[in-house]
This record gives sequence, structure tokens and C-alpha cells, in this order.
Amino acid sequence: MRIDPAIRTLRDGGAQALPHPQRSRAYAVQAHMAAAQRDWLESQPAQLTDDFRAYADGAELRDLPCLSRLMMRPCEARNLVASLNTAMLAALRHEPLGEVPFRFKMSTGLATLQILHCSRAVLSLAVYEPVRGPVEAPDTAVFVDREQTEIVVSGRAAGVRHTFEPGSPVKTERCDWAAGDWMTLTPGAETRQVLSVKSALVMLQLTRDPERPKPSREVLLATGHEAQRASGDKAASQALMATAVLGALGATNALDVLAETALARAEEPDLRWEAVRQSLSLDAAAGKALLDKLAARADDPLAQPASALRAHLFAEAA
Amino acid sequence: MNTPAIDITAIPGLDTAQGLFGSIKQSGVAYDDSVVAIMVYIHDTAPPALLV
Repeated sequence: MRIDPAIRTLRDGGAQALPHPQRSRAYAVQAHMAAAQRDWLESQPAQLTDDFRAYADGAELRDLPCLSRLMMRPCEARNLVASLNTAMLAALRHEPLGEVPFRFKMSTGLATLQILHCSRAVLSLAVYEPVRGPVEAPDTAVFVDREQTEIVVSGRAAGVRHTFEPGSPVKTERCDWAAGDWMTLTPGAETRQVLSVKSALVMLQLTRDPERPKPSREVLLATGHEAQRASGDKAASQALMATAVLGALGATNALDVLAETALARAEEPDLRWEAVRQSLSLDAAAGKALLDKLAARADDPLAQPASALRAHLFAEAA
Repeated sequence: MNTPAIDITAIPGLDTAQGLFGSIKQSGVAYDDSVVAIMVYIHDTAPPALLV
């Protein structure tokens, strides 16, 4: 395969690796794309960005007229997507090697682009394309603790909408989506699955996570039983991984921080327990002191596991 | 007390342990749109400028 030398240089070391004139060129491309993004954003009504910020701060969507109109009126959603496409395509025509400076994700048949992002709220553009996939509906669905409102900008697709109440089978309703359809999903209780796409389905999605999201659950549709559970709290999972890294680095100077995390009742039990594990591994005596403290707390959910682990590890020493 | 070192792999997790954020993968769906996990992890390390 032929790879242009300029592209190869960028791949190998990024803009830093380029000789001076090319490096300035790479920065100029980035600056052009960033300016196009800024200009596009500034061309949007100030009320829209104000509403979006207010939504991120916790306001109800129905109290935000400009944002509500965007998510419920097809012509407004279409105009926003069209203006974004026009602005980004013009920038790319000018700088064909430019990168559209929005967060994005691509997987088979699905591309998403984050248009606006402010704390826990995100406005994204999602495009579902026809793929050769399972025709039958899956037998599980994932329920996430996140507010979600969507409007179809163009295209057609068929799918299902699920409603979940713990202890009962999941209620499933077949849906056909076409331009102009919009929906709001209740956090943790409602979800939808796109099953087959007839023509590329373009959607605007507005989502907002709670401050401390509850776990995401994969539920068996037939019975309503939970098949899997994962943390809904990104920050807690990041902290858990960071804790494991501290342990792997042998960071004995982090023992105080680990103890603080382990004893903090407000944190996720998984994160606190990982702090206990890593403390024990870094310094068994410090870890045992932590187990003693936890085991003595009658009302702490970690008291029983701490007491059991202490008995298991230190039975002979006792 | 002179306590011997404990191997991390010998210390069990909680009975109620749950997966990391974004770790649920739905089987059998045509479109994997449950969580935008990869985007989140990569870009939170080096995020592009926030827009609003």
C-alpha cells in the first residue's frame, strides 16, 4: 500500500516530528478546523447554548424553549445538522487533511459525533446505517441511568422500545422511526434498540447523566432478571483503575490516600474494596489496620466482607 | 507484628462486584450503542476543548 510521506511522518510522530515548515502547516490545519468549529458554534442562537448550559446544570428540558424546539421540531433539528455539515464540509474542502474537531465514535453501522458537551450533558449526532446483522430481536436489553431525548432528522428504521420494572418481564413495543419522530427515555427504566435500518437513520440525541449514576443493567427480556451489571459512574471506574495502577506501581506513599478512599462511605463499594485490596498488597500491616476499622463499623456494607477477609488472611496470626 | 506480604491475586473481590463503566456488551444486537465507552476513556485522557 502506498502511504504519502507526509501522512507517514504524521503517523510516526505527530506534528512534533515534522520539520519546521511542515509543523507550522500542521498547526495551521488544526487552527483552521478549530476556527470553523468556533464560527459554527457562534452562528447558533445564543439562546440555544444558554439553554444547553442550563440543561447541563439540571434544568428541565420543558422549561428550556429553544432546546425543546430543537429536540421536538424536525425543521429545527434539520437546520442545525445542515448548518453543521455545511460548515464542516467547507472547512474540509479548504483543508482536506483537517480533522473535524468533535469527539466521535465509529462502530459497524453506527457513527456518533458529540456536537455540544457541558459537564454531564451531551448533544450528539448519531447515524445508523444498514448492516447485515441479526434479523431477530436480541433477548436482552441494557438499561442505563441517563436521561435521553432523541429526534430523527432523516432516514427510516425499525426497532423496539423496552420498559423495565424490576421483578416483571420487560414490556416491549415494536417501533418504526421516520424523520420527525422524537422520544424521551426514562433513566434506568426505558431503552430502545435499532434493529434494522431501511435508509440511514440520522438522529440528534440529547443526554444527561445524573451526578452519581446508578449501575447499568443488562436484563433478560423474557423474565426481567438481571444478566449483568456494570458501574454507571465513569468517575468511580476511572478511580478504581487508578487505584489498581497505584498498587501495580508499588506506590507505598499512596497508602494514606487508599485508606481515605476505603473509608469514604460515599464512594462506590467496588472502588473502596479495591483500595482495601491494594493497601493489603502494598503493606499488609496497614491493610490489616484498615480491615479492623471497616469490620468495626456495624452499618457499613464493607464491614462483613472486611471481617470475613480478615478472618481468612490473618487466622493463623490471631 | 511482622506480617508477610500478601499477593494481590489472593485477595478476593466483593460478592456484589460489578463491571467497570461501559463494560456491558449486549449480545445479538445489530448496533452496539449501549455506551460510548471507548470515546469516553480516550478523550478524557486528552480531551478536545469543551465547546460550551
